[in-house]
Amino acid sequence: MKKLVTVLFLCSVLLIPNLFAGGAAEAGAVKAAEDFSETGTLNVLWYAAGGTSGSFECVYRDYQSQVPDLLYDTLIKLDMEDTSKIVPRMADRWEVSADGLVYTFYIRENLNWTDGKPVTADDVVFSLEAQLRGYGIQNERGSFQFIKGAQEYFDKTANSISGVKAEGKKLTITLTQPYGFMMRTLATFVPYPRHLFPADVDYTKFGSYDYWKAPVHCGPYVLESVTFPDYCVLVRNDSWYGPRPGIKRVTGISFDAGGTDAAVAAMIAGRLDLAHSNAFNDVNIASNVVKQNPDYAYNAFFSPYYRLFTTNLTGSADGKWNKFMANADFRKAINLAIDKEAFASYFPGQAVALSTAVNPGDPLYDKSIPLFKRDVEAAKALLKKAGYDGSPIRIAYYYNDQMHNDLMDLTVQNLAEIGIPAESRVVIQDIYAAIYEQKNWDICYAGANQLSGVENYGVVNPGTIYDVYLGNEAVREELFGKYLKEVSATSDPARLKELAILLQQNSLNYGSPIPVISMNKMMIYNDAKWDFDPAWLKASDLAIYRTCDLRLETWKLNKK
Amino acid sequence: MLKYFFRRLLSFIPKILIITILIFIGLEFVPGDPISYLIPPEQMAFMTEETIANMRENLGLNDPAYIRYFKWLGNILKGDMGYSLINGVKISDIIWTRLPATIELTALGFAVATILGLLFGFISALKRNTPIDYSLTALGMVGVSIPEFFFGLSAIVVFGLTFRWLPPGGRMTPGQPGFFQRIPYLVMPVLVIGISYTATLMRYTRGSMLDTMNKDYVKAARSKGLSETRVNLVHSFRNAIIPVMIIIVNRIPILIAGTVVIESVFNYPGMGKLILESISGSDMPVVMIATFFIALAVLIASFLVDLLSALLDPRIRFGKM
Repeated sequence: MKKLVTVLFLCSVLLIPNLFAGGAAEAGAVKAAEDFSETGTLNVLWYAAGGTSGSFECVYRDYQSQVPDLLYDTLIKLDMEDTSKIVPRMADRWEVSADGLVYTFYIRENLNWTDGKPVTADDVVFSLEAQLRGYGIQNERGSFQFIKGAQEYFDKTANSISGVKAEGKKLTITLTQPYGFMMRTLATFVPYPRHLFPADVDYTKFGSYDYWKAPVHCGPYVLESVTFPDYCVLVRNDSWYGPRPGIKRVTGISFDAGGTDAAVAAMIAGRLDLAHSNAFNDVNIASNVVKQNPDYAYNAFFSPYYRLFTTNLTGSADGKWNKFMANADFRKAINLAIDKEAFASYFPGQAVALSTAVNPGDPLYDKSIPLFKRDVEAAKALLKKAGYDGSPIRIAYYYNDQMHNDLMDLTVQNLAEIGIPAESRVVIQDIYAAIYEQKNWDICYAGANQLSGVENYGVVNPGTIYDVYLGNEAVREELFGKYLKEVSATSDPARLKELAILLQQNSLNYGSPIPVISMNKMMIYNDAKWDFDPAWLKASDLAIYRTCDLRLETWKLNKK
Repeated sequence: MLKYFFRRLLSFIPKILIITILIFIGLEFVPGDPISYLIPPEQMAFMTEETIANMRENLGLNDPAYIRYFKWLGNILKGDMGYSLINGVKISDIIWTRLPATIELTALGFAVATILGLLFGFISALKRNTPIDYSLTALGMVGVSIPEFFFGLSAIVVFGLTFRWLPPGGRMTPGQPGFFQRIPYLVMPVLVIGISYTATLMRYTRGSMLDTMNKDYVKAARSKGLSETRVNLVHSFRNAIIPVMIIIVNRIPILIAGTVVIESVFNYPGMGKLILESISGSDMPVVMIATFFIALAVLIASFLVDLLSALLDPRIRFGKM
């Protein structure tokens, strides 16, 4: 009897897993027919510059997340593979006058906000006003300065923007001069519903309105729920006019509390499917995720974000300015002395040492200019030619972290090698006054992010505050200013390329600004779970971040 | 006793005022500028001096420190906690999204650690000088001497990433905010936050139990023929726990302080992490309020210690100690 019980027990132990295995196989067969895009969820990083506590400022401040692209819409988008092609979005048609000064957009007749109210041209006007007068991240403000009356409105000498007119669904924008990047700017510019803000809206407190707790929008997805500060749930907007997004449900998960480490752990555990943020701009992080969880892959996108040393050519408030900064050979010597490859090595897999302000991956890069190589001897020769007397220079920077402290120490060493004594100082308090007014520095480490590589030369563009770096020397206008005006005005790709080459050559000859590195951006994603249009991986960071049509209809989930 | 209670309660007011003044003075010395955090320096290039000045004025940054302090205090008394400088959100909204998370984490950590600490201490005393006692004592030493963040990271690597039994961080699965749905997210942080507390409590309980077990009344109970269970639980443990109670309550402030590290390690969005984020962003109004709440929690815990001490030892409330 005892033996029989033992045999039965052993048989059951052996059989039970098989029974379950059979069940699992059967369940697998059922699942094979399951459309995971309808039943599953794509988990994307929800990153907001101001945090995700108590407010959903997904557009106003959140600029490193896919979430705003899914919720909000723009007047137009650009095509991912050919950014000269325009994809209709909120506006289904538009006209540009022959002189390039008047843009007319017609907003779709049946387009409504998610609260059911119709989207009007007046909503766009309201949002333009918010961009010009609000506080926060206003990436488009620089471009909107070309709108007639924008400067007066910004300066509060006018109560409205004279160059913008709304008549029902018709929007007219009049510019002061032709601006070739206007359509590209409007591809990123997000309108909000005016009716959900008070009539006497205070743009200086724009982020404080209750609207941001549960924003109303008109994009391809609808905000189903938000649990601050943890996550937001987005579901496909079935009444959206565009192609039906492939994935029904997307969740934005915040890692504000745990930061990059927590998000990386979530990816290794398979709980976060897409992270595309500056926080992950390190190939070591990306490769570690892929190594720990082979379901994942990563891609580095070329981007027009770059770091440079701006040069002070005009003097400082304390009178200690180094007069050799006015000498082009002295500036060129500094450029050749800095170990830009060492700078790039601090951002593994994403940074490129620059010869010009244009990323070598940008089609506008002048390929006749060799990639940057540090040359100490050439730098010394240039110093000799400049008649340099050994007087010290001062370096200012405002990225307050250990890595940048180290990089500035490195720069001091690099300059010492060619015989320039230098000291570096981080500016923390009242940066505006320190950098733009007092200018008690000779070179200043800064960042720039523009719509294109050529626009990076905007740092020497007359009309911006960057004028203070360089003074109003006629030679600067001759070398940069007049070409930049044409860059702004032209829409002709061939002419833009010619101008890009001129600007890069002149920048090398002028020795200013001193470009250091270009910053590519990393995207880590769950390759086994999420399918998308492969054109993504060849696009630029700017393309997949807000500017271009994301082709949501191609998105698919292979797993739940 | 009532008089003692109100006297201790009234002492809160000067203590809170002193704490807020100290926090405010401390924050004045923290380098950084909220404007620089609000607007990237590159974006400043497209602004005007006047705009920056208006912004400072609107945010009240141009007032002298003492004026800002009294404005802040006046608003608090009116129930207005103000707005975050960084994202413009009402601080009360931020606090109400973060405070429940920290209360939940601390309360569960406290409960679990108290139960485990008392239980292990009790067992260790009963089984003194046996392998069980030695093992528990050794574990207690480990719990006290190894920092919590190390336990946290180890737990994430083992249970979150290697075996994937538990989520490596966060507070909830999207769309599943219920308490029972959140339990997998609480297991690791609760146990980790309670480790050092458990170990300390275990050691005190063991010591107190051994002390009590040698008392005459325990020997008398045993000699009357009472069962060992009754002697140990009713006569020994019940008396041994009285001094331990003070330790239990006394450790609450340390437990609250510990959440700052644990919340960071486990991506747990609570008050501790809020303080760290706000300090790094020079978001002083949020730092002030968040620190104020933490200080208030510590004061309440100290108040409980005082009350408990007074209840257990009448000499205290009559000022005889």
